[in-house]
Amino acid sequence: MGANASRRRSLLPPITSRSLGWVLSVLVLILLVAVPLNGDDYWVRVLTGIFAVAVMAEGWNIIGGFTGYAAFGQVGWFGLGAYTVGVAMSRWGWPFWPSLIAAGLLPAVVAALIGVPILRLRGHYFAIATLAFGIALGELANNLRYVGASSGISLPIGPPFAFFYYVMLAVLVLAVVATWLIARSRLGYALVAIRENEQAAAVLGVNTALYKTAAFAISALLTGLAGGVQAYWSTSIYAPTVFDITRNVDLIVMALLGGAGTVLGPVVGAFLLDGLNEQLTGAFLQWHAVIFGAVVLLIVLFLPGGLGGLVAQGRTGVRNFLRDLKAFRV
Amino acid sequence: MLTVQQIINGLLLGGVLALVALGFSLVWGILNIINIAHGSFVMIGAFVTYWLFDLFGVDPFLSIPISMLVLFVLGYAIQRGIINWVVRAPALITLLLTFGLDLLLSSLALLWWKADVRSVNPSYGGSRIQFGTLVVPYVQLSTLILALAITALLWLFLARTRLGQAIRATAYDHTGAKVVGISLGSIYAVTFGIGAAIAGAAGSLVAVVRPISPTMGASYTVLAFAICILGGLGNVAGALIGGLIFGLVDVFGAAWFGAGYADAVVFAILLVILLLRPQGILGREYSGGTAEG
Amino acid sequence: MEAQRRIGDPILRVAHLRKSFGALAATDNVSFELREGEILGLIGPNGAGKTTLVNLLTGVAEPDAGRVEFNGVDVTGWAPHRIGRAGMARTFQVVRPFAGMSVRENVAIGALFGRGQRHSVAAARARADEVLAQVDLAALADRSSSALTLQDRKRLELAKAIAADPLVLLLDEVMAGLHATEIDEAIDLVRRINRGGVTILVIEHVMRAIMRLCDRIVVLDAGRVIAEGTPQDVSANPGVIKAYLGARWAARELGAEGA
Repeated sequence: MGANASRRRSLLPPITSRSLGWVLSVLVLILLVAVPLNGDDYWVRVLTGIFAVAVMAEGWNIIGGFTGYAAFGQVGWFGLGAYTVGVAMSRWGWPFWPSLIAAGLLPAVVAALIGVPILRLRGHYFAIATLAFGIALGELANNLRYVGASSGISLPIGPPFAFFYYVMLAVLVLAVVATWLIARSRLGYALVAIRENEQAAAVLGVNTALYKTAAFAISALLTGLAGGVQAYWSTSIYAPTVFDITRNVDLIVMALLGGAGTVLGPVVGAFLLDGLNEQLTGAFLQWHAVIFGAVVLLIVLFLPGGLGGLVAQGRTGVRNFLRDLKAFRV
Repeated sequence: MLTVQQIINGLLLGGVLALVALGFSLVWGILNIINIAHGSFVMIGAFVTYWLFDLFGVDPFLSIPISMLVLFVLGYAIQRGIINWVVRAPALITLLLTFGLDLLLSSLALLWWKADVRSVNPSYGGSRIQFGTLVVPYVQLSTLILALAITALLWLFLARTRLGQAIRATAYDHTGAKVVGISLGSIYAVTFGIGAAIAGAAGSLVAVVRPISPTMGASYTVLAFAICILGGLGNVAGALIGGLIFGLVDVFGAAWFGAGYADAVVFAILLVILLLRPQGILGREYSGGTAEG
Repeated sequence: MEAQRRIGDPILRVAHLRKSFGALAATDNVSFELREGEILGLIGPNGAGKTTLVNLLTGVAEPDAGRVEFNGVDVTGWAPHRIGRAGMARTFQVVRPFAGMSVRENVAIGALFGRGQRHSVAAARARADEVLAQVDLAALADRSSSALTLQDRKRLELAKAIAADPLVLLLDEVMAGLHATEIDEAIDLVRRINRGGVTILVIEHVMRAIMRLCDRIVVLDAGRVIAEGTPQDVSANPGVIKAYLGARWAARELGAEGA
């Protein structure tokens, strides 16, 4: 019953296609492909960072948005991916591409293994378990001498920025296309059914443990890939940076802002919020973290249904907006 | 090897950790909120004590009431002005909100106090009781005694006062507030304020036994969660026992795996408990805090 | 019409099923058989253990003892999705629509994952439309499932289960809260589903519906089977009347109508 009252209204219904959205996103994609051609390093650098965050938000979206499991350890997969590339390239002398593939596969395998027990937990318990797992991975990386302990891993300087820009963009496109395919497949139907009522889904024949674990693993895979690219791009890998737990909340808020459980919402949210963060960093060097934190709080307080919720309310928006505000109040 | 000295050290630390968990447990049990900012409350309490000691030479133990007052006001205001707006929202929203608060508080503290690790060392810091080869430092012993005293006071408050009974009643239904004639929003704010005040007291005690920094909060939040899970939610005695157990875990974890792994050991234990027995080792399920979320 | 239906061998055999919550035995040594093609009523006063029994049959709860044999296979202790896939579908007393999905998508879940196991989403949606037409919800197929009236939500709950192409359908109070005319429609609907070849176990408090629908009735009280037989037999059984209405009522009813 609580779940019903708290239904999010989203930008796109979870399991339908919107041709307009796709036309727009193809146009945006063409624009993005053209950015490095004019040789502006600033935008190449900023956008590569945003792509990485967008992949994380989209990765969270599969387990958090579609399946309804509030995972708070997404950064753990990002760090694991980064360290996989770091170790594979610096310790084992692997080339970048196979290292990157490993950076996707290892988090997926780990997620599948811990997913079986951890996905039996719900709500707060699942959130904290995933948070603790993410932090524990970071602590491990920060202490394990094999991966450089607190001095981290350094990689040789790689190709120019534009290379990483395109690779990260490709990972983002992969994440979006994967989400789009999932949303219209058996898997997507199963995940949304699990989100809305897990027991009702199970008695209709949905193997909930299997599909939840699959969603968790796919989510880890996409996020790990982004971490892998990030590792080679930045060439120095430190546990506190790649396992930065504060980013867990940023990327969930991004997904909520754009619309959790939709295909493009989390990406839109990431562009808006991470773009804002970039501007704040430029404008207020000292205070940007505080201001950004405040913005995040305001979004959670006033737009828990995301921008889509606001748009869907149309004309009577203000009144509905106020009513929504009162819905969860004491 | 388990030595008697290590067990003593663990139990002495455990009292403080129990106090860290106590306020968290209260807020979770009564309001069904996982307050991710709890660790930051502990941090602020620690810095209040540090500041009073460093600037005015106030004895760290005497600064406890001031920490509690500061954090009660902060906690009351946060619940009243912010969390009450979304207290009925799904778990994800309150988690995000308190996580966001945690970021805000720790980034403000970073601006203010910088990332340096500090400690509070009163002049009597080194004095101790000696039993043969066993050593009990006065400071640690005092923190344990104070932690137990504050725990007992909370228990008395919840059990014996009208306001305490009203607070407990709100965990089960929402008519408890009417008994004492104040609004539910106020009861929630008072409860959250008390939880924060206890975190402040815990922070003051932490400051005299451990190094402190603006980013110390996160590991105390997870620790508080782990202790609650172990001891059973919303259970004063459970928080105490869980705290003592984790005090031992901390000491032995550091001895066996190295100090750098102390947090990782706590997280690993937390994960194992969650997976094997999510309702806690000692407790049964508390109202409102079901695993169904 | 009734004469054309063929009642076959038992498709569901429940033997000595037991489930306790603490000291309370919610299901106490329950045995009965459901025969292929029939409509069996399961009645009993509140707290008799009807919903617990349905939970035990569908794997939502695990029995402490006893055995459930479905379609010749021992399914005791199976996970809910395996039992669902084997062809046992159910509705929930408090309906459970998938709120974030349209009505059609809700029903498609049954078609995708139930006994029918359609592998393409398109085929499942087509099947969903068939079922929606069958339960008179076709016009609302694109609506959000959270925006339906109670009657429509009950129909949706049924449609989700039917779309799974079950062999056996367990209906947990699908008529509770409906008006008289709506109940008549529901009775017709259940009959149609049954004539389509689905064996049905129906739990209901609406006695008029039970009496009109069922070939046989099993009566539960305090977790035990206290009577079993045709509607006529059961309604004349003094033990049943006593369980339902209390001893005083039983004496009066029997005296007045002479049973």
